[in-house]
Amino acid sequence: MGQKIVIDPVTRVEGHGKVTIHLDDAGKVKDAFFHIVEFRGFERFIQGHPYWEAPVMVQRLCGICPVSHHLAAAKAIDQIVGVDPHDLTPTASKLRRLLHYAQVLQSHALHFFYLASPDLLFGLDAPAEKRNVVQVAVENTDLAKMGINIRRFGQELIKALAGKRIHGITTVPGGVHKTFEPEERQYFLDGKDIPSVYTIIKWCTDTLTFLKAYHEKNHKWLDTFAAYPSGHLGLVAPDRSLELYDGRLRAIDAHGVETLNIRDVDYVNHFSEDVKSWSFLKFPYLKHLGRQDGWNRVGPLARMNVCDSIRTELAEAERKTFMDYTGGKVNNMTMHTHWARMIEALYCAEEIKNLLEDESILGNDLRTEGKHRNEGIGIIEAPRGTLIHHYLVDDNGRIMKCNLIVSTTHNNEPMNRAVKWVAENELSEKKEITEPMLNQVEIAIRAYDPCLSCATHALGKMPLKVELIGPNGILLDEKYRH
Amino acid sequence: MKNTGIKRLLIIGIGNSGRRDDGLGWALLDELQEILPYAATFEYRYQLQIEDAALIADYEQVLFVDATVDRHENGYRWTELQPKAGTSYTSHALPPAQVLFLCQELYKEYPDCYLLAITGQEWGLQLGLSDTAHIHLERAKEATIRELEARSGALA
Repeated sequence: MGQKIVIDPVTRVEGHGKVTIHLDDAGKVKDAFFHIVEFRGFERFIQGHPYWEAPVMVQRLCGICPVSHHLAAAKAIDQIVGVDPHDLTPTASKLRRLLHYAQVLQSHALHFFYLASPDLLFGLDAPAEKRNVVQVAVENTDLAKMGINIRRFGQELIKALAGKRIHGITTVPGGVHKTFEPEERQYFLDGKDIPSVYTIIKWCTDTLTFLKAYHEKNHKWLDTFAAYPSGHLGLVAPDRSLELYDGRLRAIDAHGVETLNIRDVDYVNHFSEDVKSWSFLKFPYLKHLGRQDGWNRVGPLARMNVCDSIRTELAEAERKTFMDYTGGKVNNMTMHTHWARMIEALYCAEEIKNLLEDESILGNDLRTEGKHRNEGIGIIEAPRGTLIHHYLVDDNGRIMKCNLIVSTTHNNEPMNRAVKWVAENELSEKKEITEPMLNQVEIAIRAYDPCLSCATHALGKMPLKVELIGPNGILLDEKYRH
Repeated sequence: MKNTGIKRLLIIGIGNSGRRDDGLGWALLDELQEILPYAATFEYRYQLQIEDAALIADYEQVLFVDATVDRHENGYRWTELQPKAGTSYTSHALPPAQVLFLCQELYKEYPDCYLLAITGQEWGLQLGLSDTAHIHLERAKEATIRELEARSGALA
């Protein structure tokens, strides 16, 4: 009789997910699904609220990347008050970017050091009770200290700019509401109370050195595990350099052929979303390529693939090393996402340094005004990938419609492909499903750093469940992890 | 990596004022900031996270204040904390004793730590403490002042 494996909950990701793996009579994998089982409905309940509440309300989608939602909504709401990104004052624009880089830095540090590093350091077969950051602290103290302090630096910078580390407020329609004071800037430069930005840059570089050595030793596994061809999507600057805050939407296929290069605000003409009965998470795709071929990965790996360069010196050198690994070809190796993520962390640290050393961030020209419009579209690169906020408002400023396509939504199809890869290559025709096997399913999902709470717009715990289902649909085995 | 400028007292309130009595920890911090006769650092948290281990390493004494569903005599309970290892599926919500354990592992020393648990009654999505929580808060505040003074005359 066939079987169904259930992993519920999936651990060390943000939010609550479940995996089911369907086997035939011979124990061979027939299909595998990554289900997102949370629901919140932010797009619906924000309707009727005044537009200026959007950046404050929608950031409650998430406790990890609220800054990303705050800024994407702010970019959209700027347009409602007639302000496009290039209309912002230099100080406002730079302060928003500073906030954004701090957010990406702390989120990438959280993911790499707290969530992913236990898999890398302790191996696939390590006991479950060992695979956590507390054990990383016990056995790899220096690495843990670096991770904790990099994240803390990003969070402190967010607090300085937004008032709170989580769910703070920086933006107002057309700008920001608070100046950045010289003593606040000094706090991040002098290294007296917390490690300086110069130390953070060094630690990011040290982490990349560690990671490259790890790749050298473990390339066989890292190059093949859950690897598959896919399209890649992300923002790029006009010169096609890496861009996280404002740029053009660019996509390429698995071979590097460009499949999209548009103004970000034109996204609505090019994207569509499919739905499945087994998940609350939608499946976005490029209309002209269709549902089967139009899906893309987003996030650090995708961004490395769609950009041609990085503006900062150290991160650009690291990007070149990263691209040299594939001879300049598109990198479709899922586990290389962690490497790409730390290159971006270094990039953000360098950008933070450049902005902190820029006198104009201390300016007090913070806000611009324009003429009311009825539509606003804000697109940024959140830590996990392309984040789209789209609002329609009436002439009284009430939100009539809201569409949010978050990073993890773009990665829905890629994560399902990754789960299926592990199921077919590691679980198929096995008599017993062991805990380390289940962890491999999670490792594949974890590479995408999914934020399932954001993606379903859900109040959630994060735990994974794997189900083993027979050909007649009967649940034969299941494993939970809490 | 540890900051060498040791500070005296850190008080961390844990909770969420949007969930009624879960805001007890924050409410106590609001009141202590007005009346404590010596310098202290106040931090508000929804939940404790890993980097709080680095934060507490900078202090001599740390007090965690949290709401609890447990019923205690007089509506609160003051305990001295010891480091405790533990595992969890999440890295986003650590118990105070585990933060202390992390601090010990990372920095090879840790501050004197105390946990003040204040009993709440209502936990719905609403601002404002219940009447019972207000009574417990007042008692907990008086006890906190007594305990801090008794433990550290040097703070004054």
